[in-house]
Amino acid sequence: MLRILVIKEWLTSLLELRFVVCATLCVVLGIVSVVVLRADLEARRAEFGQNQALYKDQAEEYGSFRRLEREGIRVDRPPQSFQVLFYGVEKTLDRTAVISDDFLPGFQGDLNTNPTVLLFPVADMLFVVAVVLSLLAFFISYDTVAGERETGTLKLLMSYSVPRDLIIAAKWLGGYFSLALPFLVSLLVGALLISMSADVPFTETDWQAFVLAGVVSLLLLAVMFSIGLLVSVRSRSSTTAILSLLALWVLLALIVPNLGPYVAELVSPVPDVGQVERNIALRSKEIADQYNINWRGIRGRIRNMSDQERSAFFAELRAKRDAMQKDINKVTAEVVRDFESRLSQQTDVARVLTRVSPVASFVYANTDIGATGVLHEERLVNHLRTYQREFVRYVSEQTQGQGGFGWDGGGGDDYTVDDLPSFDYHNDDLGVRLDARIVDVLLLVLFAVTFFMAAFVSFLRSDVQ
Amino acid sequence: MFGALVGRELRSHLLTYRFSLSAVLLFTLVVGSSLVLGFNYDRQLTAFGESKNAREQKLSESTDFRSLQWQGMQQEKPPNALSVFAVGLERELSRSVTISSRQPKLGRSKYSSPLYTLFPPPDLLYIVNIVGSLLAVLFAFNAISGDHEDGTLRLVMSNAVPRHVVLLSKWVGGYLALLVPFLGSVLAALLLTTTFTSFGLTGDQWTAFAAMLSVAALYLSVFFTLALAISVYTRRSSTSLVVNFLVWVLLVLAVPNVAPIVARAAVKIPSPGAIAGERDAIRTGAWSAMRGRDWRNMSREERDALREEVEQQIEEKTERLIDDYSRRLETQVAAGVALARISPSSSYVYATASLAGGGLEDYAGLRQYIDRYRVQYLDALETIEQDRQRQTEGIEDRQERDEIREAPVDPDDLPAFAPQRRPMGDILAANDIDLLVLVVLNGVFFLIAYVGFLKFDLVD
Repeated sequence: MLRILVIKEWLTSLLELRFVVCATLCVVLGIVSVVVLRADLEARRAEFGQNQALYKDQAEEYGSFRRLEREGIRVDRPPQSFQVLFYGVEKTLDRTAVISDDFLPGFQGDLNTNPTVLLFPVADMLFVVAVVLSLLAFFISYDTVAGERETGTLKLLMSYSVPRDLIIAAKWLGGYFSLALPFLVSLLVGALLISMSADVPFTETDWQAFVLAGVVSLLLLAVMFSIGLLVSVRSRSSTTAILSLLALWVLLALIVPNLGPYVAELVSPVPDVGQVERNIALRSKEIADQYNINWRGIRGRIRNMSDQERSAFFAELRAKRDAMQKDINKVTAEVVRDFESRLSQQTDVARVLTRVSPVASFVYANTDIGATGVLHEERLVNHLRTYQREFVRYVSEQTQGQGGFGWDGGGGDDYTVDDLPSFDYHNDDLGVRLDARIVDVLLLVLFAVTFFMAAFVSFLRSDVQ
Repeated sequence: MFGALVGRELRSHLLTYRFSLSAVLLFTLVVGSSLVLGFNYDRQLTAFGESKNAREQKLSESTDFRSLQWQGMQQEKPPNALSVFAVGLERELSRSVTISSRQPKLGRSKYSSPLYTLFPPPDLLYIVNIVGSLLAVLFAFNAISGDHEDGTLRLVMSNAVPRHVVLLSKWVGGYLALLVPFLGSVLAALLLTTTFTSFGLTGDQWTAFAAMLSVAALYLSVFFTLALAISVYTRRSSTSLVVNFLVWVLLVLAVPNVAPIVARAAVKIPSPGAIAGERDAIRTGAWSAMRGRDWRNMSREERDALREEVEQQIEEKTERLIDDYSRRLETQVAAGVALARISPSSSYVYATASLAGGGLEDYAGLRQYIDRYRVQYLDALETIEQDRQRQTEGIEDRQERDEIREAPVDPDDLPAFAPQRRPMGDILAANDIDLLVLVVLNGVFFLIAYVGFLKFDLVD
């Protein structure tokens, strides 16, 4: 009996103009987003490769390791394969970091860039599912019960010996299949487009993440469909149902997730970035004052020295300067780590607040599964710092035992940066990423079950009249 | 007759669940978001004040001209009050910038949490763009088809009422019903934000705010008229809702969000990192070429002249590089903007963000301002240094000379970093196409609705 009812529900949905429009929208938007973002990723990857070579050439042109140490080497944010589906934090304009011995590095912004992308959300698969498909879920479910109650078909159906639980289960399954079908089609076409491109290197882990992200997306659709069904059961007319659902959609998909970071800023404030920078500058100055290195008039002071004395003088000066830089770096690290730990707390607060909305949980889960989310950002910055340590170690090995203090130290004909460590970033294992977002996935399951149960119970107790 | 019809239409809207829900939703969203963003603005103001004090404190200590030139001064523009209602590009514009003899360096974003990148700001701009346009569609999707279905349209038309009056009254009545809760919410938000936060507008900003509301009204009217036109051409309100929904998703959620990425992939330009690298390479190359020179045997004047020559070469080459890059960047931005303008939503966003002072022109303007300010800053430092050098001429005592040379710099002697708001005339001129698009679309959609309604078969 359930099978017959599910097929009836499904066929009813499939034959409606609403389904045709929703399915077309879903498939077209899904395909367009993958095609466009694939072209974007290909361009990004080509640019990344070119820039890496360019930055290495520039490092070669410095001519000395001391100069390389001071000027540093540029590193670009590595493009993430998954940005073809979930753009996430890759939208940022902070794309290049300078690695030198000075400060804790971070990706920096530049005003010489195209900011139009910041004015609108990126139309990636994340947006298509979170905003468009969640709206479609409401659009398909709003009259599932309320509509049939209005037209009288529900009364007719109930006059047969069909248990209510079977009817509501069939309505859920039939409606949900109608929603999931176009999504699965667009996901499959997306997978095909990705696999066809040689410039989008999806590894086995990426494909596993792809399947996992697809499951999480289906979970969100299940939550939204269940909410739609619940409202449809509780509403006396389909107009009331659709209006209530649209208001809910606005709150759940557009407002709650977006308002989260701003509310968290008030609930769990972090110091202003300027204050952090000033704190670093103040403490660095204190250290510099302690070391009291007199940089002025070096030329005059060494004028009458012998070569041996000069060498000893520079060695002492360099040792002092290196010790000072080490202390400054230590203090900088302390201040920045304190700031980042508070920022991380703030991000957690924002996450907790916004998890009222299943859309927010979906965004957190899928961006982190795809390694384009907050976790990836934190890991990338930490990796940048690890790379800085490798860079400093490499330069200090090259300059060890070489004379000179200024920019020419560690230079000469044999200067080459061929063996300079490169910035190789790898994502966390999928298991680690999933572990970090398991709460969000479980929340989606919980939301789906709770809302379905609420709809189920409401339907069992509802008046057919 | 027209007044009676408008009154009837308005009443029929006011008594619906749709109106109550929209009013509550708009009020909650507009007031809630303005208050949250208003408190955020308070924090920005405090931080800006602290930064300003710290800068002055730094200058009040002894002056080291080399460090002021090489390490530079950190500057930032004051927070923009209108960003409480339209954030636009304010998150990027509010970054500090280090002005020195080297290329300007942007500070870390004040919106530190990575979640800000994941989610767009829920400001009035966003609410009107998405929620407002959706409500406009909901208010009009069954204006004609609904009345046709329940027979009231035939009843109305059985009276001696011209069709254009019926259509116009439906437009006016429905649009007023949409506009009233919207304007009411904005007014309440303005009142509460002014009362509970430091939010306040200057004369110019009030004009800009009024213009923002007018553009919002124009934008809502585009979607209202479009939905009315679709309602005329569809016989059933359920069909009208589906078609309206399809058009709305494409115009509001798809086109504007795809266009910038399409433009970026179509018009390729080097990354800012590559350009910054090339700037450094120009400097490194120019100075490397001077390595073989016998600096020791040159007189001070000769050394200074050579240094100046090298700096000039660097400036010229850098300027050529940046000019070329800026041209290509502008082409890319223009391509994205032109492509996005297929949708009225983009026109609305561009125009409103510009009026609020967080638009694309403000971004480009700040870039140019920083370049100009850098020159002024370095000139001012050089003038102060030269003045002090002149003052110390003839003074034998080294300590006395140092005291004069290293005396604190009066902040008033340095140019103030104060990017100005663009005049309203310039903003309107820069966004004339967007405004024109919104006006023309209103006219076109109304004409389509009008023609369709004249030919509407009441019997069918």
